[in-house]
Amino acid sequence: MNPKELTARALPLAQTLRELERYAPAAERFGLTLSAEQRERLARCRTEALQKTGRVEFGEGVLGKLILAFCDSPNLVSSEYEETLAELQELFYSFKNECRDQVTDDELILAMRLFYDRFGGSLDALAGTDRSRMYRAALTGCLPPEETGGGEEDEADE
Amino acid sequence: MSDVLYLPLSPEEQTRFQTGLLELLARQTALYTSGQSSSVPLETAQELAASVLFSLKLSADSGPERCRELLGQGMEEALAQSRQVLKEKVRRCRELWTAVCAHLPETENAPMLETLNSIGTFWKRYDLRFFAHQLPCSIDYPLALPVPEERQGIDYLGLYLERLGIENEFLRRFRSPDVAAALRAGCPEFREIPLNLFEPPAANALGRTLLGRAPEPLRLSSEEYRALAARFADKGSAEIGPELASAARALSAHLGLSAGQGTYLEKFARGLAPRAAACAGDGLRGIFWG
Repeated sequence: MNPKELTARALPLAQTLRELERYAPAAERFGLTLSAEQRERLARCRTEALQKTGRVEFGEGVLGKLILAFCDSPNLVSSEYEETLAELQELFYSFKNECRDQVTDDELILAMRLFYDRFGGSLDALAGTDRSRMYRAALTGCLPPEETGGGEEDEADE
Repeated sequence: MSDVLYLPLSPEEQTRFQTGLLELLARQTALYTSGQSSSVPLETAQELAASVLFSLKLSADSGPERCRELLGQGMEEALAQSRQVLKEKVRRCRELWTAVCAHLPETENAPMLETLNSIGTFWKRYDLRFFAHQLPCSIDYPLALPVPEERQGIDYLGLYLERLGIENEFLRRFRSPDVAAALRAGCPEFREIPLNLFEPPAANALGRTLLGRAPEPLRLSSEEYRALAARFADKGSAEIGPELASAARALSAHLGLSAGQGTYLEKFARGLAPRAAACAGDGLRGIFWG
């Protein structure tokens, strides 16, 4: 048994499914539902997103927290619920890396939600958010002023 | 009963063992992030895993008996106990470092001093809770008998300091000008570069002992070189090794070395044998320093 083998064994699929089972009902009152197949696909997406972003997660992931944080957004369309969650999940891990793990999960999710609403639910715009702006929003809990062009210092590097 | 311990793990035991380790790693990760992050970068996860494995004394070579021992004790309990052991090792290691610093050889070497200074920062930087396998200091001064690379964390440092103490104690048995002269013969910049101070004087002392002479002044004349080369000519490492080991025992007795110091000198002497056999024909330059 070596460290690589040990970390590779993390993340059983069943754990993600249990997490979805627990959190998904909270979104149903907003008309957001996930079928069993969709839940399984999302669970697989979690594994892929972690691999793609070079991260390891033990126990529960962030899908449950993402569901709770985004389910009441007026920009979230029920027909794109599964795809949106999958995309948000991957963006979350990606921003976590970009912020050098200097912000907590809750801080980052709140910042993502703020930007998501500012961009009217555009995931492309969210993905293109400058990391220093995301970092600042995560730390302060509020959106920075709209970009007017010109460079900003990269605070996550400090 | 003991035979049963060595039987391969059953599938059920394997599952319990792997699950236990993963749960432990998950708890360690949660503690590391203070529960504020569900995920960590792969490199961090692997370092946390390496620390858990090191603390539990688990390696690729660990047999089923160690796994059963941990299953019986409980992983978390085993980890908590290992921390007490590590704390004690750190305490002993720090005492050893203090002793080594207080008994430096008169002949100075900058990398040795820098290494000891860097070890002085280890005590504050060593994180036995999450990164017990790491060695947060720079060790640039080489030993005559290097610490095996498999050693990690405080185990590496403990053995390093133990060996450095033995080497320095040996040097302190001789006059500083004699030590410096032996070193200068092979490397005039010996004070500045990362050169082991023990090897040249120790090899010369062994050579002189082999010839039935007193180890001082730690230098070999041309005639003594020739005598040693003639003695080793046509001999293999297997024959030279015991001769050098015997010289090491005689030298230990002459210097009044402790058992541990004597064993180290003998191991060093045996280690010279393959090189002595290989270059006996070339006058033994590079093994004994003129």
